[in-house]
Amino acid sequence: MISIRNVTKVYRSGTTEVAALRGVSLEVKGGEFLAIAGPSGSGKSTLLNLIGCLDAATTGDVLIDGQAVSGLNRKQLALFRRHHLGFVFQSFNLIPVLTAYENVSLALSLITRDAREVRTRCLEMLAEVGLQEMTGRRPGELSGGQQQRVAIARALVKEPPIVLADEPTANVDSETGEGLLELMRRLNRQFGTTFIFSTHDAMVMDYADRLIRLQDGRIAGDESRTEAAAGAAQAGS
Amino acid sequence: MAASPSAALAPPSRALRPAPTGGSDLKFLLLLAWKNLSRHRRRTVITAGALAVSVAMFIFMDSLLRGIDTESQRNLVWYETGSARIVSAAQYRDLRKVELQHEIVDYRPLGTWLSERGVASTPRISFTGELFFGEGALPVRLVGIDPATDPRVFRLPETLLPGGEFLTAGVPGLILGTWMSEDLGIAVGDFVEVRTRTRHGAMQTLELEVVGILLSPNPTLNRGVAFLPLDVVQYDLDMTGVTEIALGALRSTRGRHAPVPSGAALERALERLNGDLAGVAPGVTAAGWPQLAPDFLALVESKQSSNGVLLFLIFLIASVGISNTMLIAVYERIREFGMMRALGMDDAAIRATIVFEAGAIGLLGSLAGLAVGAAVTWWLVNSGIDMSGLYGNVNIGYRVTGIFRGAWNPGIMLTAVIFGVAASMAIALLPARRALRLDVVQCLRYE
Repeated sequence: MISIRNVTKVYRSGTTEVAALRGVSLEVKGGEFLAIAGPSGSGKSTLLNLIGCLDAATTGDVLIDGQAVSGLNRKQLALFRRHHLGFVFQSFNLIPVLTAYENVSLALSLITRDAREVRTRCLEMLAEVGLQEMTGRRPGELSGGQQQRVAIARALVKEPPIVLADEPTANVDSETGEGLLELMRRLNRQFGTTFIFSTHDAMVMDYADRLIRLQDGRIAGDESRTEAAAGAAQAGS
Repeated sequence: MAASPSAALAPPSRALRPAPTGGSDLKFLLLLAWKNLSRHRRRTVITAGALAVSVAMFIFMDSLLRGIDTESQRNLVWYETGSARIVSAAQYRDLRKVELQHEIVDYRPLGTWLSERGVASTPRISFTGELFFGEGALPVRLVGIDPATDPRVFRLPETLLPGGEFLTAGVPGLILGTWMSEDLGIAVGDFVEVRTRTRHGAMQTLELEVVGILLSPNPTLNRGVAFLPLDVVQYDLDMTGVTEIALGALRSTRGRHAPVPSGAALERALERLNGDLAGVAPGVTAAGWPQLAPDFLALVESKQSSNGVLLFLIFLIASVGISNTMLIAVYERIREFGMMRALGMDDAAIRATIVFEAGAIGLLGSLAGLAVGAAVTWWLVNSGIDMSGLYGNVNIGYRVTGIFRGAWNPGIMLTAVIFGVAASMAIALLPARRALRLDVVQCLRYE
């Protein structure tokens, strides 16, 4: 589904060059629940931005569903993101003047004019994230965890094949974070949506089926957590 | 092998009725723009208020100047020029300098002919002289009028102050303006001396009793014009004819009489009249009132250009306010725009959100300005501003004295509202452009 081939990303500031990614190659299958982990500056946000078509690689290719996204212009990229990608941000990024329902419907109204369909699906999705009683509340009237649930509903309401989450639990307490991860895993199973997180939170890593470790812009480890868990369980028995 | 862009861009999820490519739900964008106004209510109110003041001020100024224009034209036609004048062809070549030699001798049959056509007319003789009273003297424009027919075209009898009376044919008498009478200390019943020249250039002195003093809404009459009977003038200046025949209301193409004809209607009426005149009196031509008052027209033209400058300045001030507000509003929402772009909203939709928001401020401000402007105009039309204290007996070029009244102009009111909204939207394009110059990642990291 996602194929990253020998990607580099170099940021230039005046005469200074900083390599954020140094020849990263990665294959992600549909329906994976994947975490990209690493310390600050390891390149995880950069990699997430490249997969999310928010930034362009300096060299190498990013292919999503066989489509080389580096070949798309600004407008085509917007259209691609609209139909293929959902985003969950660390700081929620909800629009404060809109209600929870309106924030969710913003994403769906970009791809359909069918008002009834928008209403039905938004309410369904808010119910899925447990906010059916809070559809009329504005972000300022919701807790951090509830706001992130709205953001998750917004990312999933258009049923994109891929959801990218940049440190989704960073701004909530651990209990709320765990609840959010449970929710995302359930939705991953239910809709078959591919989830890719960037994180340095051990709890998020534990929830991931696959963990990519980045170090200084290179992949330092790629482990399947289900296999590891299965191995550990087998060893235990 | 990479797939084609069109295949990859197709919606992957459940079948949905798709939005047009690149488009966003307009209703949603409008809702978002409207809701954004509530983020900083005070700022929205102040910005809209600045625009409201500008729109109201513009409507007020336009109403006042239009009112002065309209009243000036009316007072010019009713007290000074008539709708038009028939003059000799020689006189027509230079309407500013009236020559007694360029007289129309057969003016009576022409008057009858005009009457048969339903056009009120009156013969007049215009000349210049000097008016002496006691130790004082003033240059004066003198007009010989026919007391019987003059009120059909002009409204002089209505302007007479109490104690005076209108002219009588054959009786040497004089009516003069109140400002001139005050300057020279003349009262009704006083005898004044008028020195002028006859048709043949000989000096002539007329001794006349002041029978009336007029106070006209047209300041030109109050300052430097005096009226005396036509037959007295003809006798004293050795004339058999008149210098002009002043015309009352002209019949429009639809058969109605226009009290103050102007523009294309006046042009057409004059063209028709001159065409007919060529058949009955080849030596004369009719000139419309705008030709007879070039000073007034110059004033109106300069006012029109100053109106444009005024409009520009008023909206420039409002634009600075709106521009500032929109710049702040856009910069504090850069991250939000980054999120919207990440969701797939294209540049045009983001731009539309910003522009709609500015348009909403423009609409609020313009409608408030319209309400205030309409209220002020209503007061101006019904009560007016008493400018007599400011201008006193000074002639400022407009044919208006005392109370300056406004006039309704729905067209300019609508224009002000449309312009207010359009200008607000146009001003928002600059901050929108700046915001869209940043890439999505820069927007999402913007602090």
